[in-house]
Amino acid sequence: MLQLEPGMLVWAWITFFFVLIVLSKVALKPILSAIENREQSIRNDLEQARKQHDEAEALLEKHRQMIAGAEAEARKLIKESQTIAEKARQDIIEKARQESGKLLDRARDEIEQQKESALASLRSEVADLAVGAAEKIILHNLDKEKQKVVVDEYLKTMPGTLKN
Amino acid sequence: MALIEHTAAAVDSVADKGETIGGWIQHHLINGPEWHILPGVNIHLPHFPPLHFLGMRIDLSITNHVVMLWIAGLSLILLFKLSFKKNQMIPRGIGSLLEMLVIFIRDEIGIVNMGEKEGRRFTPLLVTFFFFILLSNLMGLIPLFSTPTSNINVTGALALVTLASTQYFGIREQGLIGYYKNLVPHGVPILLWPLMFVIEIMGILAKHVALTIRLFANMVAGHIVLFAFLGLIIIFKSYYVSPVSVGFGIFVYFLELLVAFIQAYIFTVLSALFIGMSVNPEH
Repeated sequence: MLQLEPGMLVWAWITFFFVLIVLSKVALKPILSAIENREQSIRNDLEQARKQHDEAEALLEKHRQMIAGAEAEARKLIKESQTIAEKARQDIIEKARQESGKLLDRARDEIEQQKESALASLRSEVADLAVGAAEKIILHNLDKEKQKVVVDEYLKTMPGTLKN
Repeated sequence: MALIEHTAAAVDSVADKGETIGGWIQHHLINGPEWHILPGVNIHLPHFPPLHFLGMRIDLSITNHVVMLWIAGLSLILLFKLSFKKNQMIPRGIGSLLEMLVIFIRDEIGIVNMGEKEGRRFTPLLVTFFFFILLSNLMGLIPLFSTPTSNINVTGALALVTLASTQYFGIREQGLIGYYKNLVPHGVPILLWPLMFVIEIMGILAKHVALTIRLFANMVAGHIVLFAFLGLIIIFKSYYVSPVSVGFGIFVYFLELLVAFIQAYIFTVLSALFIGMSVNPEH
């Protein structure tokens, strides 16, 4: 069992080196390079994924800041417009109040004027009437009959609307 | 009773043919000029006249173990060829198992023991060592096949490949003088150098002889135990021993399955370690 057989040794070498050469040519070189390529591509993918993740994180942070900025901006704008609106309201109310006061004053003046002119015309009319009546009374002898006739005549001279 | 008589008759007939249990075990282990291709069918392999070279008698006849080596090598090549399709990024089936083993050998055996660059460079050699020895070891567990690694010449040839690799690549990396100078550990007094040099050379030889004997002895021992358990049936001349024999035989069979993997792994690891040590001197 332990005897040395150089022939067996030679055959083992031949077989082993044949297998070594054929196997590395046919299978091992392609397999190892495929494994290497796959590892490289996995490494690249991981690297890229990490980069993209970082990028996305940065973008997210940026967007968050932008949103916060926009919110602050909007709040400021709302506040500003509120104060503007308040001021405009006050202005409008004030103006309206002034306007209405002015209108009221004007109306009051007009009324006063009209009243004045009406009173004046009434007064002159009444004076005319009184003068006319006095004229009539003085022109006629004033007995009962005549007085009655005079009044009736006077009444007849009155405008139609006053009849009855 | 009939059973016992039967067994006795069988044993007597074996004894008549001049066979003993020891001879029967040896017959199953040693190399021969015949290939038992089917039960009872033996092929006589071609015999060549021996060559004489440097006073050695080299008999290049094809023997049983040579055929077994060829079968192992061819099935290894076919296994790799068939399970790996070209241009396929993701392997499937046996391909993924083989690829896992190849990556394991590259990363855990090659790169760990030899360093990043050398590990990648020697991966094809280590993978071939591992799978060739593994298939050779496993062949003995299939009926009608025998284990080529239970022949000391085969394991010796494999260990000599490792030895030649250590010397060749060591000299190529460090130069002839540099390599042998680095064999002696640093810090040894000048006077002790000749002694240390001889010791280191003997150490290298011993390492590779141990590599040879370890694989050979493990493979032979398993088979001897297996056949010895079965031989107990004949020795005791009784069928009643057979459950025990067969039970232990199956146990030893599974043990051998384990040993086949372990020895292939150990041989590969030690080869990687030896080559790594000679290629990277300051390890």
